[in-house]
Amino acid sequence: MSRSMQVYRDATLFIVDDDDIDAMTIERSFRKMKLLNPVLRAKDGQQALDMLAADQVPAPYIILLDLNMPRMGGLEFLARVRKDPKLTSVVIFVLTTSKSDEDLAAAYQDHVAGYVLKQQIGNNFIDLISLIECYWRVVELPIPASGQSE
Amino acid sequence: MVVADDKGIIRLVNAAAADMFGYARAEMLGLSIESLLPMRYRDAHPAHRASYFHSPSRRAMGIGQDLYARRQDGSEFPVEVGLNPIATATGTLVLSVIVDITERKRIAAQVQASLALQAAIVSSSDSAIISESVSGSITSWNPAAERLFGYSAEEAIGRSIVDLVVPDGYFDEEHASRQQMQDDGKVKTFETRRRHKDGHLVDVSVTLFPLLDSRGRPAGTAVFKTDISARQWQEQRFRTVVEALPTGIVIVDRSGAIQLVNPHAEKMFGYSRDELIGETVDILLPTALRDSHAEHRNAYFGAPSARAMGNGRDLLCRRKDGLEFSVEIGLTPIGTGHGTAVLAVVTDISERVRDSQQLAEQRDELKRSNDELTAFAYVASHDLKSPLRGIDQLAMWIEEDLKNEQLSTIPEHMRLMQSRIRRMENLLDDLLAYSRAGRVEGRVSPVVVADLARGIFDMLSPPPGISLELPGDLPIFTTLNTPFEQVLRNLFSNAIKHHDRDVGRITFQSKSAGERFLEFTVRDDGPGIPPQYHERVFGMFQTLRPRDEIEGSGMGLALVKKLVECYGGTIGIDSDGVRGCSIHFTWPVAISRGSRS
Repeated sequence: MSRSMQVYRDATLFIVDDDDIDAMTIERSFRKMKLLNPVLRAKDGQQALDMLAADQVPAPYIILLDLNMPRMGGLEFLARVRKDPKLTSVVIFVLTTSKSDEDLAAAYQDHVAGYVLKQQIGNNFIDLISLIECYWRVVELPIPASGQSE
Repeated sequence: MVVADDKGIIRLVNAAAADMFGYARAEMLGLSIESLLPMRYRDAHPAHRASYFHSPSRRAMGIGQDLYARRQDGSEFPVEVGLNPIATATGTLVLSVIVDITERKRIAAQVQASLALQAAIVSSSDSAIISESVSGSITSWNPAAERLFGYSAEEAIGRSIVDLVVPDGYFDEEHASRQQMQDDGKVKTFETRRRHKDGHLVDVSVTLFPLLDSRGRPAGTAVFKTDISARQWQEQRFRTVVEALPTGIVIVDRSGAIQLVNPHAEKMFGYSRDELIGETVDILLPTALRDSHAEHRNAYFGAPSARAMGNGRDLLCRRKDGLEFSVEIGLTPIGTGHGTAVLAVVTDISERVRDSQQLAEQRDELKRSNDELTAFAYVASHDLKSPLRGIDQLAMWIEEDLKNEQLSTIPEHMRLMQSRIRRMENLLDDLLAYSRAGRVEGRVSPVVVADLARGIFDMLSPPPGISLELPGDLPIFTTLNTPFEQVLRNLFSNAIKHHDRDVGRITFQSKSAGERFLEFTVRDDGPGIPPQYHERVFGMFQTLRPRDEIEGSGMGLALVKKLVECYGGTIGIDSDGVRGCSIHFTWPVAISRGSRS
């Protein structure tokens, strides 16, 4: 991967969450912080996989993953990511509602960059964005294999 | 017969005498009578002869002495001699009648020996041996009789055995036995009681043996009595223990015939003792096992040992009423008068088996309830929190927007807030319905299924293009109306709510599923459920579409499954996930509050 591919400022935020208000909260926070990164949304794990497989999510991207969703939940999505060599290195933040969610996701810790408590998405969502920004600065975001052709 | 004169010269002899002494007749004439005597008597004989001729009379020779004669070959034999004087013109002759008594002597010796043996047996026997005359008075009384009854021979002989030792209350039995013996002349054996001289009673085995005289007429009775008190006592003790045991005891002989059962076994198997004794033990086995049992029994008698039956297999027995129950059986070989038998100790363990089954069921139920509780806790922290969080969020936005005077977004946010409040309400209602499923049962009442289905469908206010069809007959049956209605309402509601077209058709059918169940099927022509989600949709709070698209708690099928399984039924889905879905469930034909497993 060459340096010229390092396009973190344009990284896409890929929200995987079935709850409209959660998604609205995130988008609202982005607007508040004047962040212009593209935001995409899937309403469950299956739809997210379908979108990734169809190259509908421009690389590089960061996934914000909810756990409880119809059809395919977050844990099952993580399991699929782990098995898929094209996706195994994507950066995923897990949206949680309690500490027990972190315990549940612990089995996938290699694939989870961090946890975001949903109750804090509102006021403290700034912290999350800062965290992601920080991540973007410090970490060279890997570009998934599917996105290399771009 | 030999005739001799006073000089001892043989004058006449008959053929029998010649044969007896081993001479020709002619040879004997003229011989001295002494030559017919053994050498040792010859010298003394002339004097005897002289004395006889001195006063001849008809008498036996040698009174009180053993007489012997001598053959020509020198051998001797015992004789009896009768002497008869014959007066003739030439003087007195003596006619000796000689009888060879060899055989008689042999028999006499045998009789003597046999009498001595008999006396030895009688006096040394452990059995009382008593003889009586025809009139019933005692004629002999051996030492064992003295020991058994306490009377000495002197005290007993001459008295009546009935007076002496037969206790009150046993006279009839004694007389009957004796009468029978007199009538048929056969030996009688029976067990009874006799009285000792000191008054205590003794258990005895009695044998009456008719004695006949030489012409076959009754000459008296020989009575044999054996003390069986010890044996009786042991048997009594065995019986008392067996009768009192709180487990079933069955004794079976080699042929499989039942010899003994105790009261507990009677109760356990539902047969009376009379019905079992002599029957084959196979009647106590389940029908399917009877054929192979003889083989097992033979194998056991081939190598009898005390052990548990069945080598750890689960054993079943069969009651008279056909009911089968679980048992444990211990086998012990016992010797009886008629060969080895087996004593089977049968313990009814059906209660224990039932208890452990019940325990397992309770454990499963507890596990199910725990799993449910875990799911509840998870659900409470996620699905219930989610609308609350949304409300909180929306309130914050409205506050912000008011502050910034951006009033245009407020109505939409208010609407969203209200929808979250309704969602919260629905989730709580459905959660409550789920937790109470199977507990609120309503009445057992006749249900006209077709009417009920139409009523529920109309209540759900379906869009005009969605129709309900009821092809085929739907039953009228008596059931618990509340849970049955709940099941139908949820299935119809799902079919309507998830339909993706303006025109849709829901069909509801029923058929028999065995004797105890009816099968109902709700079929729609909506989008269907892909096979990979068939299991998942029965979970709590599981939806296939975001609630923001199709409002729903995700509890419907979980509730239906819980209700159906609560009454012993099953539920399943047929759908390819492309078009159409049919959900079929079974429901008991006869239901009651207690019918839950």
